[in-house]
Amino acid sequence: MMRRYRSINLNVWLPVIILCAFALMLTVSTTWRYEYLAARLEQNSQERIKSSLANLQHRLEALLRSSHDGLVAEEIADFGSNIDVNSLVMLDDHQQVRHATQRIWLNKPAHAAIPGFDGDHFSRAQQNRILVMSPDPLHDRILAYQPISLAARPGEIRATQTGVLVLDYSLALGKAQIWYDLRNDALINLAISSITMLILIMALRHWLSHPLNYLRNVVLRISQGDFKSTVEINGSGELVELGIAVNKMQGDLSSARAQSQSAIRMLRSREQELKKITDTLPGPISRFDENGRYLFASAAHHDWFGLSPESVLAKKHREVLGDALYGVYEPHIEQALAGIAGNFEARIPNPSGGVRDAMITVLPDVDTDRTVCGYYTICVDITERKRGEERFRAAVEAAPNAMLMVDEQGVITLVNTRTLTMFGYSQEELLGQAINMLVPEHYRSTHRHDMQQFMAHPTGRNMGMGRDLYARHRDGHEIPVEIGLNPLTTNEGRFVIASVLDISERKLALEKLQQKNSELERYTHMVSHDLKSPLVTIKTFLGYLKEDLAKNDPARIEKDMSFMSQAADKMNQLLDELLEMSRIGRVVALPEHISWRDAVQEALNINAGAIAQRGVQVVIEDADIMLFGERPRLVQIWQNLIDNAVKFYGEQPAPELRIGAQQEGRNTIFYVCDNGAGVDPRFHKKIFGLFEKLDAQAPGSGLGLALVERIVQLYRGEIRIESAGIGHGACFRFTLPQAIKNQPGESR
Amino acid sequence: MNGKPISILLVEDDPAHAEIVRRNLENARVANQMHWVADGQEALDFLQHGGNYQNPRDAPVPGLILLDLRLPKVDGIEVLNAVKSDPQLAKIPVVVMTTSAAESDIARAYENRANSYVVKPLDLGKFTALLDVIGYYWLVWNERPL
Repeated sequence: MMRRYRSINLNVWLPVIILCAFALMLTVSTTWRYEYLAARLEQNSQERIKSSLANLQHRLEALLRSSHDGLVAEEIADFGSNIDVNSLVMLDDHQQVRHATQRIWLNKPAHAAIPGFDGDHFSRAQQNRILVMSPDPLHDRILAYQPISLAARPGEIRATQTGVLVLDYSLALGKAQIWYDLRNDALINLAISSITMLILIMALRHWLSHPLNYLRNVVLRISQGDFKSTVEINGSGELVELGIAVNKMQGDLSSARAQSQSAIRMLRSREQELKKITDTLPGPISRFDENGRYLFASAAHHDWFGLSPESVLAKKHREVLGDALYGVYEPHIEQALAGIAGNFEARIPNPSGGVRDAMITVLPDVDTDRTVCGYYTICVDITERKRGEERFRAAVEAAPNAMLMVDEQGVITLVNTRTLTMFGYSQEELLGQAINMLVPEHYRSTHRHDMQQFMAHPTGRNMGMGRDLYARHRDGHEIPVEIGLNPLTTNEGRFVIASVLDISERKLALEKLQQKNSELERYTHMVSHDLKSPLVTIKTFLGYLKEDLAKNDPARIEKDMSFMSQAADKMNQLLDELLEMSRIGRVVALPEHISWRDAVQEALNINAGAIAQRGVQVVIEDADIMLFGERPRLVQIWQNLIDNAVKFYGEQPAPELRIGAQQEGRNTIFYVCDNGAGVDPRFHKKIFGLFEKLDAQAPGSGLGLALVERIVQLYRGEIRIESAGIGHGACFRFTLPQAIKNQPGESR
Repeated sequence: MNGKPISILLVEDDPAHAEIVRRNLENARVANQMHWVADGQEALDFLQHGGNYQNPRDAPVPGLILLDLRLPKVDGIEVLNAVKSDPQLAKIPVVVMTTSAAESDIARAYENRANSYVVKPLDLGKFTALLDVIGYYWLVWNERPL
């Protein structure tokens, strides 16, 4: 630390101070000396007064004894002419002036003649016969009381004859003389010292002021940037040391300046570099102080905010962004000022119209002493990325399958609407949840393992590798699915895109197809069996026929040929019915309107011969119903059912057939009932089977009821038989919803 | 051969085929009797003495069952299963004799413990030879547990 000095103009003030000090000293010493000499003067005067007065007393007493009063007066006057005597009086014992240096005081009382006369001193001197001195410093004098004998003769001495000489002795003159001498001495001394001081001033100006001025000028020149100025060193001493120090300072400053200049050059080039870098960045970078004022802005400000980087400097951030946008920034700026960096997405209006999507990073500006002194903002244009994301979303949304995006931890990050409908969840319920919630509980551990496997070797593939996969609906039921997996790597990490296809319908269709297949297999199988059977008969009986012809056995020949003929008939019938069967499902005629009544009547007409032959009583329980469909098919239903009923009346003496329809709720139920042999409940299902005949000897191929069932199914209906058993008759009940519903225009 | 009359039960819905079997057995004379039933239900009634066969004399336990598969009312396979599931009847050899050579029929027959499965040949000579062989094998040569 620099110590502070109070500086004065040495070459003037130093001599003046010395001079003043000397003058003061001189005054004090002169005063002391004067006091001393004055005291000495007083002491010497008292001695002189004592001896003078003793001499005077002797002379005056001698004169008094010889009664020469005139001589006495002369002696006193003589004494009074002494320069130091103010006055001298001789007092008698009554304190009356007997003689005095001034004639006017004669015979006057003592205190009139002598100012400051003291009666006590008088008495003491007279009675004790001693000299009494009374100094009076106030008036610079001494009063001396000297007893004197006034007797004419030596033997007549009495008290009353003792007088007193009172001398008023002045010290003023002596003191004035002393003062005068002393003053002269002092003045001479002062004069001498003043001259000395003048010389000193001259010397100081030469040896101190000039070198100091020189040094000052050099330092000034250095301070003004003239780093070449140095002090020329000549001689030795403190100022020379100072000069050397100045030269060293000049050297240090000069090199420091060179260093700082190169540092400044470097800083400038760095600044240029930094500016180039920040200016080439497409997004603006800015720096702000803690009050949100711009300290720096990169060139992109022009593009983004329509303001040049120079024009925003010293402006406030809020001014440039506007209140609404600043509101989005504000919480992040506050965080940065608290020392926490962060980023967020914002939509920034474009000066040329439109909006830009930006990712903004806010960083705290930390000072060297680790305090936050402001913040930086760095903006990156993510409009394209956002658009890409939107396109991706749109593509995912448009997919016919459920599409899910799952991150490496198995958390759902994206779903499309199809996913929501497939699984029964809302978007909020799925996003951010583990994918496991869509996996049936008993598959979860396997699924986790599969997912890890996939993440280890991510390639697009189907999940499950041929296993049947199931997903879990919100209500807990399992959905058969097919899942395609595709890895997706973005800057936010790795994801898996799963495309989930609900294959419930396909599975159902497959099951149906398999069912149809096995049905078809059974069908061909039965056909081959039932066709082969008469063939075996014919071939075998041909063999018998040969033998019987050889034996010429007419009865056997007749029998053989009958078997062969029956077999051929059976084959013919079978082939006819098979042809009919194969036509079901194929359009044989254009659909048309036909009243139920007409259809039944047509069927009765076809079977009229058999009905009449068996004597069957037909009862039609009339109903007004319109049907729409292929006429021959619809008629065949009643035709086959009537044919079936007529065949199986057994021993019934009064065969009866009831045909009708009734309404049950929304369904129209048709019925054909007989009072014939009836069917054992065990065979209720079997009678509708292909080539099924309950009675091997009964006429027909066993296709009639199978055909009826097929036709009913074609019109989306169902058929069933009701019979309490053998001998209780049978009732066929069936529906034909498609034939009733399908009617164009007016119905029924 | 224990001197008891040997009978064959023929379960066949086609009367022509039944006639062929009957003629052959007459010639071969390996069996004393042949009983013919035309559907599966009747076959079960015969074997279990139900329906029209309440009297055991009308329905003796057969030494062999010749069984067609396609039968009215109760299917041949169901009859086979019923026979083989009944401890009283399980020892009776059942030869399935049908026109079907379908693999599924053959498999189902053996799954239900048929003793043999033959397809009716399309030739009188072969048919006769087959029935002879079946008769001799199952009724003469084959040993059954008591």
